[in-house]
Formats: sequence, C-alpha cells, structure tokens
Amino acid sequence: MKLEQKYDELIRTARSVGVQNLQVREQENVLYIDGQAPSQDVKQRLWDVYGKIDPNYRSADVVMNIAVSPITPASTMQEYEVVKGDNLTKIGKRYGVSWKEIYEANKNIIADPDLIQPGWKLKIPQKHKV
Amino acid sequence: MLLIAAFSTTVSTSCKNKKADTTTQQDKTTNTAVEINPDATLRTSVDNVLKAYDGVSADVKDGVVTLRGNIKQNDLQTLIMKVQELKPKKVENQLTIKS
Repeated sequence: MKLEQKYDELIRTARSVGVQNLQVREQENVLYIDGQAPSQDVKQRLWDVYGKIDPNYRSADVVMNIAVSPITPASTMQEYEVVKGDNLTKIGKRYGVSWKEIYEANKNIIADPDLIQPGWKLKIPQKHKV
Repeated sequence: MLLIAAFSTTVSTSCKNKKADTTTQQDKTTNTAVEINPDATLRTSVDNVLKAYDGVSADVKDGVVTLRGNIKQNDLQTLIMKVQELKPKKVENQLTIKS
C-alpha cells in the first residue's frame, strides 16, 4: 500500500485516461502496473507522470507495462441505430470501418454477426487514421 | 421478430457462438501473482533492446535487470520503458546519465 500512495498520481491518471484491464499489484516492494492504453499519447502521458514522481527511474520500485490497444474506447465511439435491411458490412462501409471492428465493439449485444436487429444501437469505432 | 441476415461473404462462421466481452472493464484488484519472465528469456530480450543503445550493458539475475553504462537523458525514458515491458521482477537503473 505504501507504493500505491507514492505512485497515487500515476494510478489515478491511468484510471482517468481510460487504460483498459488496468492491474495495480504490489509484490515484494515493487508496484506492478499493467494495462492497455487507448493510444500512444496516453501511454506517453503515463510515463511522463511516472518520470515526474521518479525523475531518473532510480527507485526500482515500479514495473510498468502498458500496451497500446487498437480498440477505440467506447466513450469516443459514435452510435448508430440499426434499420431494416442493414448488415454489419453495409454499416461499416458507411463509416469507413470493417464489419469486424463493429462486431468487436458490440460483442455485448451481437451474439452472431450474421444476425442484427432493427432498433439495436451499435457503437461505431472511429475510422483509422492513416 | 424480424431478423436481418448479413449477406457479406466475408463474415466468418468462426465468429459464431462467442460470448460477449466487456470492453469497459475497470482496473482489477485481484491477487493474481505477477508474471515474471525467467532469466534466460530476460537475457535474450534485454540483449535485443540494448542493441540500439551503445554504451549500455545489463546484468540479469533472479529476474532483476541491472542497467549500467552511459545514456543520454533523452534516451533514458524509452530504454526504461522497453526494459520494464519485458516482464522483469524489477529494473535497477545504475546508468550514468549524460545531458
């Protein structure tokens, strides 16, 4: 718990910027912070906060392993209501994303990507920037 | 109930019957033990990272990676980041930092 207090700002930042699957564990006087950041910028921000607390990383009391997740956070997704005649490919073409990305973002409601129903509100991931 | 069948030929049947995932998981406070790579794995992966850093060497013992040598201040954060992501027990920074 002592380390969690020392790195409180880092942990709070990780929670507030949408790091997915965040795990904070203290073991043998080392704080292990794992998770997936929604972007490289977010990951950099975490490392900058870490660098502010331990400027030259001399303390050897943190191991931070933050991957960059390709999944767009739900909060930045648009919503689309399914109408008669829709399918995931057709919706994906409208937004410039693949059917699979829409399926992945809506697995909580889509059990079978071949079967979608009018009235469902689907989250649409952002189009990838090139 | 009106069901609409997707007519994309690219829809894979392998997607079927998968259970829904929760994509908005909050942080876990589980007591799962931290995964630490064995020394042999760390040795190989640390050596791969250090190829890009002239003047930096590392010892690996019992999961602890100790970095020695010289590094520019601007390169320090990236090096520590790369080494911490190799799943060590901890990273001891004994580098001399040059501005």
